[in-house]
Amino acid sequence: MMNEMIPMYSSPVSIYYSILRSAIWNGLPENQIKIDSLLLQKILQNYEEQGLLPLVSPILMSDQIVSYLTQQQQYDVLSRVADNVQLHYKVRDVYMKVFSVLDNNGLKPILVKGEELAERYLQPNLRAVGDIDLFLFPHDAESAVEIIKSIGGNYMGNMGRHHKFILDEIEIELHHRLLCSLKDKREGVGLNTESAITNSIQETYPDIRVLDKTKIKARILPVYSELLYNLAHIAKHIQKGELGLRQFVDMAILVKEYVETKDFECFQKDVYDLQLGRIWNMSAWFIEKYLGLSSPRIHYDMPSEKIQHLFLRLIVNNGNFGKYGGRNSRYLCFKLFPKYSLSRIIDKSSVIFNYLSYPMRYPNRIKEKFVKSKRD
Amino acid sequence: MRLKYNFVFEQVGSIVLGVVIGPDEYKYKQFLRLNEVSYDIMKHLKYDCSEQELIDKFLAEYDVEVDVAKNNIDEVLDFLRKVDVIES
Repeated sequence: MMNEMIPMYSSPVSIYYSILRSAIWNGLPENQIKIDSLLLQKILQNYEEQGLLPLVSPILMSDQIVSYLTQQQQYDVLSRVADNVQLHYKVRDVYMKVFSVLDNNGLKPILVKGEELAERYLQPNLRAVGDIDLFLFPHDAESAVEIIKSIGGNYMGNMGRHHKFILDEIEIELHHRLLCSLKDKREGVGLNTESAITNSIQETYPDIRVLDKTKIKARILPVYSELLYNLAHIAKHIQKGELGLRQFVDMAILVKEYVETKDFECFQKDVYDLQLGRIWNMSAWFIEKYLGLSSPRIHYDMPSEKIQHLFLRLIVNNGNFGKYGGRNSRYLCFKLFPKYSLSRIIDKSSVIFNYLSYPMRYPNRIKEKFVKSKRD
Repeated sequence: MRLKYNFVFEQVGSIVLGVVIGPDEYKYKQFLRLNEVSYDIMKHLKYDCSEQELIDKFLAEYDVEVDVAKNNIDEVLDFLRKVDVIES
C-alpha cells in the first residue's frame, strides 16, 4: 500500500467527495488518486455507514483505485455489492407480486422512495435498498392490508403513517401518509389527504408504465412531486436528527432530472410557499459544493455560516449531533424554518397530493385550497 | 452446455460481477468476479450452447484468430467448471 498523497486531492474530505461525485455522475476522478491505507479504511467505513458503498463501488474498483485496495477490501466491496444486487431482485419480485394482486383488486399503489429512486440512478442495482415503499390513499390502504395478508404477508401493524408487512423476507411499508411530523401528534394535523381524496384523484393518478431500467410495472410520481417530497423528507429528517449523505445523492439525481425540464419557476414558487426555501437553498448549496451539480437558488435569504456548519455536521455525522444533539437540532430547525413550525410545513406539503389532483400545476389554486381548508 | 444457475451481471468499475438470483441463490452462494471475455462467454451460456457455437460467437465479436479464440474459451470454461457453474 502506497503512502503518498497527490496535491490535487490534498484533504480526506475532498477525496471522499470526489469519489462520491464520480460515482453519481459516472465519471472517474480527473487525476490519479493516491491514498494511504488509513484514509482508504476511513472512506470505506464511512461509505458503508452512509449506505453508499454499492454506489461508489465502480470508482473503488476502477483501475485508478483498485490497486490501493487489499484483496480483503476488494472482496468486502464486491460482496456488499453482490448482496445489494440480490436484494434488488428479491425486492422487485415481491413488489411485482404485491402490485399484481392489488392491481387485480382495483387498487392503485404508487411506488415511492427506494426502488423508485433506484430507477433514476445510472445503475439502479447500485443504490442501497432495503424495503418496498408503496403509497395508497387511506381508504384503499385498509383494503390493501387485507389483500396483502391474504397472500401471506405477515402484518406487523399500523406504524402511524404506514402499515408494515413482511412478505418473503422483504419488508413492505404501505404508506397512507407520505409525510408526517415526529413531534406533531395532534389529531388531523399531518398530511391533509381528505381534501385531496375529494378532488378526482383517480383521474390524475399516474399511469402504470414499464420502467426503463428495472423493467418493472409501476405507477411513479412525476419528478416534480418526487423532488418536493424529497425536500420535505429532508426537512423531516432534520427535525428527527437523522440526515445522511444518501438523501442528498437522491436529491441531486432528482434535481438534475428536474432542472433539465427547464420548468423551474413553478417549483420555486411551491417551495417558497411551503416555507422550504431555506432548506432548498441549503441543500442546493451543499449539492453544488460537494456533489458538483449547480442548481438554481430561490430568492430567499441564505442561512448564516453557523447554520451551514451545523448542517454539514448533521450530514457528515449521519444525523448524529452527539452530546448536544437535541439542542443543536432544535436550533437548526428554528433557524431553517423561521416562520412556521415544522408540523405546519409538513401539513402544507399536501401540495404533492394536490398536484396529483390537478393535471396542470397551478400554485395559486392550490394556495386558495389551503386557505379554504384552513378556514373549514 | 449451459449455466447451472440464474446469473445476472453488474458492471463494477473495471470488472463484472456475476451474481446468482432467485431460488438458485440458496444453492450457489458465491459471486463471480469476471473480466470482459468471461462475461461475454457467460452471457452466451445462459442458453444451451456448444463449444463450437461459442467459438463462432467469439470470432464474430472479437477480431482474433481461431486459435486465440479457442484458447480464451477453454480458459474461461475451465474456470467455470472449476467453480461448478456449468452443466453439460
